[in-house]
Amino acid sequence: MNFRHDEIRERFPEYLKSSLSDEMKKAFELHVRDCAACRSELSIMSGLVSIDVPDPGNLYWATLPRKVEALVNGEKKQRFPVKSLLIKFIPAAAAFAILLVLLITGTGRDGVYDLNTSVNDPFTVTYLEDGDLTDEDIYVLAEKTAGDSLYMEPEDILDYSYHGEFASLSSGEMESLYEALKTEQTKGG
Amino acid sequence: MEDIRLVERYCNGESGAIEELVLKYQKQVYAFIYRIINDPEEAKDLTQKTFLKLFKAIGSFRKESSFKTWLYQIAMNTSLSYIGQNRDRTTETELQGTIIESQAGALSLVMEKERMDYLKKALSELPERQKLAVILRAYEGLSCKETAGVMGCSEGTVKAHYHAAVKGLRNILKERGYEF
Repeated sequence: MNFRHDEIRERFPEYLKSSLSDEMKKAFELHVRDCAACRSELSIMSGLVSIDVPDPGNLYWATLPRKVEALVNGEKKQRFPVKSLLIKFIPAAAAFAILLVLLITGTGRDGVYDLNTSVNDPFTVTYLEDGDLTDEDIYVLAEKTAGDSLYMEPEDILDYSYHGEFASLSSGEMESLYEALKTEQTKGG
Repeated sequence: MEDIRLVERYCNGESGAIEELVLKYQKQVYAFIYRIINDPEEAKDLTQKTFLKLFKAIGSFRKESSFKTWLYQIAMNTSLSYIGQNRDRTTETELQGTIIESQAGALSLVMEKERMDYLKKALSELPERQKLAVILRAYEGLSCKETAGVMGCSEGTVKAHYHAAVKGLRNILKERGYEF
């Protein structure tokens, strides 16, 4: 078996590890015997390989695998699962955002009534009389309430509250009801 | 294939695979790191650090190269970053160790040891890429292709580094009166 010079040089590691076949080993040694460059290189390589590596001892070899395992498992537990948390919370956050948008756009009132504050303020006004509202105020109020879904017409109020019952009472019956409530010192209405 | 199976077992949550992988490669990794940094105590720490880095990054192992190549790559980067951080300290420790050990032995042993120490020192004086090419090829017995995989370069570059290293070693030793 004939080897080229370059092929021999590529096989130094195998030769030093004694992993060449007998036939290859024989051809290798034949070449090295006649080639000064390869002889010198092989001498350097075998010198390097024979340099000892200090042995850290059996205790080190026996404990290292378990130590690494413990550290890897410890680190795994400590690591904050940012990725998985993001994946978990993205749908919930999206649902919340949609809900928020629906709440704002669906139930919001359109603008603020542009009325006299002394009329609108419940702390300063105890009751309303027709004279408190100007014609302009009534017009603005009518315009604004027309588009308000929560606004109820007076007849609706009569249908769904006790106001309807009061409306059906005569003035005498109302008077006796008032007296009865006053006697029992009960506030209400 | 056996390594890949162990990696898959670890990825599937079997932490026992860690022990098997460390047991299989710990001696090789330690020797490799020691040859690069020349400090046995630091080599112990860096071996542990290498395995921790390996398991931390195991999700990024693409199985295109062999597990061994990938492991050596991590060990090499860990060692090189250690050298970068402790450049002055490494040389000092190494010289002190040589002097103390030389005083202890008999004359013939000291001479042989001195020859080996010069060789070791000559290796440490080589440029980093050349030193790595020699360590991976001569000590670890990796092929040119595997060495190229670890060093992240082409096979041609590995060959160039390796031959320049051998030439460099020969010249350094010649200057000190040693013929190899």
